[in-house]
Order: sequence, then structure tokens, then C-alpha cells
Amino acid sequence: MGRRLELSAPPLAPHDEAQIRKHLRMTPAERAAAHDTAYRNTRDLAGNARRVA
Amino acid sequence: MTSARWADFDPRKLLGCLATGGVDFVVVGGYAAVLHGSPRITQDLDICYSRETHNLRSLGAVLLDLNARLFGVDEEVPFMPDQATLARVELLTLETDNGKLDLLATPSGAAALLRARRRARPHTTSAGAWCA
Repeated sequence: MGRRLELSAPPLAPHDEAQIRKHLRMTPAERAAAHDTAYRNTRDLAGNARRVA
Repeated sequence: MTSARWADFDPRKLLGCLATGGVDFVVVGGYAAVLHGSPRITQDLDICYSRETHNLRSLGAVLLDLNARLFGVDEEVPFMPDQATLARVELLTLETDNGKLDLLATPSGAAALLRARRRARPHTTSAGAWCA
């Protein structure tokens, strides 16, 4: 009596591999600076966004 | 206009204050992932820290300098980050003049600071700060 094991996984969410590669090439100091810039940009976008019906 | 959810956040300033204040700590969580190369954005700095008496004193002094107060508490609740208080808590979620700071005494996945530090790498933008 054999048993069969079936494994499956949900598809991975799409991600930007180029961006990951770019960050991995940076030094930790450069990553920290990039985070600061991204944070400021996102905060500005969030501040200017408005809900639409 | 700035969204309240996106408050001022200067993790490098926070790290610099902790390092120059002589606090023995390790960066964990989202910002540690950022320093390792994750392109994510995080809105707070998570650290775990040594609970030795002298370190709690140093941490308390830095928290006073940073004007740390309890996060998410609307009323003016007095918060005195002295050694006795810091020794009792497992998790403190604070807001400071430089952004949100979470203190984790024994974070999941790192049973103790020393265990985390063995796997930690120096964070090159702030002397003395380590990143798990």
C-alpha cells in the first residue's frame, strides 16, 4: 500500500529582481541613504493622496 | 501636508544617538532587513538590547534625550525610562522626535542579545551599532 505525497505552493508575488540586485550591490550606508529617500518620497505621496469614490 | 501615519523618521539619527550613548544593542526587524539589502520601506526602528544594569541606565539616558514617549497614547501619560522600568518590560513601543522606536527585550527568533550579536554585522553608518 503506497502513499502519495502531493506538494504545491501558491505562486510567488511578482517582485522587481533588478531592484533587489541593485540594493544588494550597495553598502549598508548606501542602503540606509536609499531608505531615507524612499521613505521621504512615500511620505510625500501619502500626504498628497486623496481618496476617490 | 504630511500623513500622520508617515511621521518624521530618521533611523540614522536614532542609531547615532544610541551608539554615542554607549548603548549595547542590535538592530532587528525591518530596518535590519533594509541594511542587509531588502528594498522595503519601514516606519520604525526595532532594537533588542542588553538588560545589564549599566546598559539600561545608558538606554534610559538616550531615551530622555530623544524625548521618547509611549506610542499610541493620546493622553499625556508620564513615562520615565529609568533602569527599573526598562528592566520590567519585554516590549516598549515608543515615539521619539526622530521617529518610532520599538524596544524588544527578547524578540522572537533571538533568544538573547548575545545570541543575536554573534550573527550580527557592524552597521557602517553608525559606529558601534550592530545589525542582526
